[in-house]
Amino acid sequence: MTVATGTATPAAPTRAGPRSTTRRLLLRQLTALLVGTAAVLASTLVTVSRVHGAAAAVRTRTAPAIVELAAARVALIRADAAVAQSLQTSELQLTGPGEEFQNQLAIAGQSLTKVAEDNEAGEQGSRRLQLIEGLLVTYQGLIGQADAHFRQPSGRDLGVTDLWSASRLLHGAVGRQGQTLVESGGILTELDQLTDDQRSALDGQVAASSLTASGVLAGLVLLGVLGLLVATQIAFRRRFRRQVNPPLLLATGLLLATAAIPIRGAVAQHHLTEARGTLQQLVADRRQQGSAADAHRLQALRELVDAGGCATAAGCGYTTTLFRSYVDSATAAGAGDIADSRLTEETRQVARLTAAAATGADLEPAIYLLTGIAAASVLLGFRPRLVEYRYRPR
Amino acid sequence: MNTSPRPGAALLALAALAAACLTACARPPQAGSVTVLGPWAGTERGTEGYAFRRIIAAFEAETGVHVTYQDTRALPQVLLSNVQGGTPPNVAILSGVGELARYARAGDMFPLDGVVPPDRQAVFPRQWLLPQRDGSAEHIYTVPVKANLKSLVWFNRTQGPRPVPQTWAGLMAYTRSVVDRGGTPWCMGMGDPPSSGWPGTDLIEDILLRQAGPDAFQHLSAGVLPWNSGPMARAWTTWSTLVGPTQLRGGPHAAVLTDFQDAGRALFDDPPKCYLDHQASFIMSFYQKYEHPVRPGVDFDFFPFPSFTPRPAEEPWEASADLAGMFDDTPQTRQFMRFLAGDEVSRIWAESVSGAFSVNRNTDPRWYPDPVSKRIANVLATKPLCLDAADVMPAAMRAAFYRAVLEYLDGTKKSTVLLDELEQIRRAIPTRDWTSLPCGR
Repeated sequence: MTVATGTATPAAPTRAGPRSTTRRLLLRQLTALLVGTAAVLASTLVTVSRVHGAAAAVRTRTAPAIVELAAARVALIRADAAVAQSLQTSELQLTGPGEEFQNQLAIAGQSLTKVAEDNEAGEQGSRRLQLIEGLLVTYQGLIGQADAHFRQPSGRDLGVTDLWSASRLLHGAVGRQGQTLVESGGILTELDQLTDDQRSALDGQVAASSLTASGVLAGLVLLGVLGLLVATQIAFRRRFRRQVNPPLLLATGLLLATAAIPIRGAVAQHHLTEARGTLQQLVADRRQQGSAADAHRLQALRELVDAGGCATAAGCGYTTTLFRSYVDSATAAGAGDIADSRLTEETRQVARLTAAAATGADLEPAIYLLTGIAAASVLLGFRPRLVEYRYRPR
Repeated sequence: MNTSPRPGAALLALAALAAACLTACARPPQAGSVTVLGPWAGTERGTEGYAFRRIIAAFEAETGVHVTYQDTRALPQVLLSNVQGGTPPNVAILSGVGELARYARAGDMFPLDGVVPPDRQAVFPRQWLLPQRDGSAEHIYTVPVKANLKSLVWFNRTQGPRPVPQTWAGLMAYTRSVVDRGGTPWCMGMGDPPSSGWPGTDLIEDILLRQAGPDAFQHLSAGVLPWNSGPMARAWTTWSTLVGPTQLRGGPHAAVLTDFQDAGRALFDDPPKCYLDHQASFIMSFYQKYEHPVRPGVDFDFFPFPSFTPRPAEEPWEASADLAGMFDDTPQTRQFMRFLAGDEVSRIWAESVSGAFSVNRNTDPRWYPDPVSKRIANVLATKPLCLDAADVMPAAMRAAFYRAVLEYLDGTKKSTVLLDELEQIRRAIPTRDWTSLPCGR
């Protein structure tokens, strides 16, 4: 194999006309290759940075926000169940709404603070959080009033009324959705909608990490530049009688290597998709945990309401009658509880997957390095020929 | 001339282009928008949220100004948080006249004298524009966006009272007649967390207005009338005769546990489980959404809250309103406030949702689809009105009033004790925190 060197002599160039034509041609080819390399850099960067940006946002913000919202939801349900149960016993007389209530409320507050920091649902998410926080203050006020009235000898009915109001503020009113009775319109509904907002943001981020459109564009640009490099090699061989130009060969190899980078991006995207699936499972499991905890609240609240003279079918009007029917249907549905350890493992799995996606997608330095060296190699490959034809036509 | 190749320049140019596009292409500049905080939720047809969004769409089509609307059930808290945080909305719409007046006095709201033209101001009763005195000058601060008529008693047209009671004595006679035949006369629901109790305060206010007159009513809302004074004690005692255990469906405790919008369901049972529902005009939209929808003027109707004298002069009606205040003075916000003062707004409410009314005198009752709504629209446009006293009170006084109703119905305290406690709260609130708005047209 004949290798081109910086001192090789071209095939019988004439002094002015052919030399100027060759120089112009060389400059055009060089410019085209450098612009092409820059285009490879830009298109690959766009592709990879989209994946990286999405993966980083999911890892640091969206996934934690969804996890914390699910945790806050269960904590609030457990707090409400705890206070309803404490009113049934003599615990309230001694300790107020109870330690469990205080603990769960604190957990919910901490989770919501983290959601505020990680919110990826934009202004709408912030507004919902504001509303939730405002309503939670009112909820706590009602629980405080229930506590105060239960401590008074004649305050039991009003205590039940306050607990009833607080519980409905949290869970919403019972209504029909088709043939099914559901509670909706309360703080938990707002939390669910905020979770949906975050999940929409997550869907957008996973979709943005897709390599389909930008990846195809980057591939086409790369193919074009590789074709140009091959054509340059052929032209050099014909014009300068050199089999191979090693720097251009190196540039070809380096640019081919950039093609492998989006493949790592695809792996990162796969991790993100998996993380989204795990998050969906986690949210569903948290809801089941909430339903299991809520069974205690429903029974306790129904007994408290019935004790106030509402035990008959129409004893206390439509609202309580519908609530009693809802308790029956929810009790019959009987959601089983889910161990916290399973939720912990799912949370860890989400963290692992999103971390793997973010790390795998952090490829910008490699792109700069490969395309930078490729551009330098192209310059190096052209330099001897340009030096030869450096004189301008007279 | 330097002819050496410059790969860096090409790269920089591309990078600059990409960076410029990333920032400029991703977020187009958005100028001239208005943010609005309001109480109306829902996007589906027939909801108040849907109707208000139609109003916004009409404004956007007319002016090209974009409006971002946020609805919230915790409106007072969210607004207070925004104002204290230095990020108020451009416009906030709420029924708490007391809160709005406080914002106006604190300088958080901008006067609308130069925003709403005098001819548009003239179509609303003056007190609904929230006039506030500043030295020798008086400024207006709000535009009434939507109104509710409150002095109404609803009944089942086929099985309710015939003829309808014209006086308090007639109302009580009907109440007793239903009890005597083993029925329950009154449907009542106090529930509306976190504001439970307001249906009871509405009824007490109606009694005070009819029994003691508009001056006493206004003095109550302005913090001048002591709660344990004769007129208020008499009104409370009168109310207590109406909410006895045999007169309310399920008894007083049931009324506390029943949501206000559910109470009227029993009107339409066959036979009705109760016969009368004291509620505001917006209850129509709830009735019409029950499982077996009912029609205004056919299945249900209202009669005015009766007078205490056999042949009274024209008596004012109690009403409430959602008032818009301007929290940021921009050209676009001014445009929006002017639009809210227009006749178009009243027409859209009338056409979009049942039970939504206006105090705009130009409102044409023919815009409303049924005879009941036409009558309500006519009252609001032509009769003297008193703003709901609880809405005009400072928030602390209003919350205590709601609470007192619940405590009375649950039998925790006697009315004299509750009125003394309310009076202590009234005295503790500084005079400057009260708002005086006379009844009238």
